Amino acid sequence: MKQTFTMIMILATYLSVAQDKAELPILFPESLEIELALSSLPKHLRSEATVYILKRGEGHVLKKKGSNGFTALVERVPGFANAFAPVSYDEEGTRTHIPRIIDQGKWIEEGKSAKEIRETVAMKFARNEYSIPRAMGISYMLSPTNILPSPLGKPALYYPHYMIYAPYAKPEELGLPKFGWHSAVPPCWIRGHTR
Amino acid sequence: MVIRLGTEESAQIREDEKELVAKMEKFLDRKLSSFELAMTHSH
Repeated sequence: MKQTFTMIMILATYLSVAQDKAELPILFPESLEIELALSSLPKHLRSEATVYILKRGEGHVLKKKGSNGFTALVERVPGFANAFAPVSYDEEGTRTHIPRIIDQGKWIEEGKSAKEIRETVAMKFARNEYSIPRAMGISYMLSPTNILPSPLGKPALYYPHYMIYAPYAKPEELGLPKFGWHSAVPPCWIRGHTR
Repeated sequence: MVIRLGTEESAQIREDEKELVAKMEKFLDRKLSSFELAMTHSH
């Protein structure tokens, strides 16, 4: 009787832990993951770019060390198992943005919730464990296969685009509305670090 | 600042990447055009 009770408690604990884990993100065959990652870049930057791929249980791992300063990977989105976004950053973005994306991939693979990940990222920024870019730079998301959550939380297809990060720039310095990181002026939206 | 490419440029990219789009649609078992089209994202 005591053994049965113990087994039930172990099983209940296991199930409780399992239910707390977030759903793991979509996983592509390695060759497709590489192709997707590189599709974020303009063609002339692909052959010399660094590439990371997502491995189950590990997160993003280095697949190829490049030489042009650009890094490409397929970002996964905390809390949205079926969302994915081929994305690439220039050299400064590789130094500053990519470590956070790689951490997120690892935590998503560990089954951490979106809330846990958001809080951990915020804490690491507060502790200066993530660097802020020292200059303006670019992130390419030119793939026609960006599936990301819509503002209503449904998977949606996003136009190919690129993003300019401008640390400490004020929106109005760029001729954009002062408030909100999504301006009301398509096709430009401000996001990222503003002072 | 996110700068979305225009409709024509996006269509050209889809054409240039049609093999990748086909592979993705096969993998997902779904046409990419069947997804809601969104203009901005919050990831």
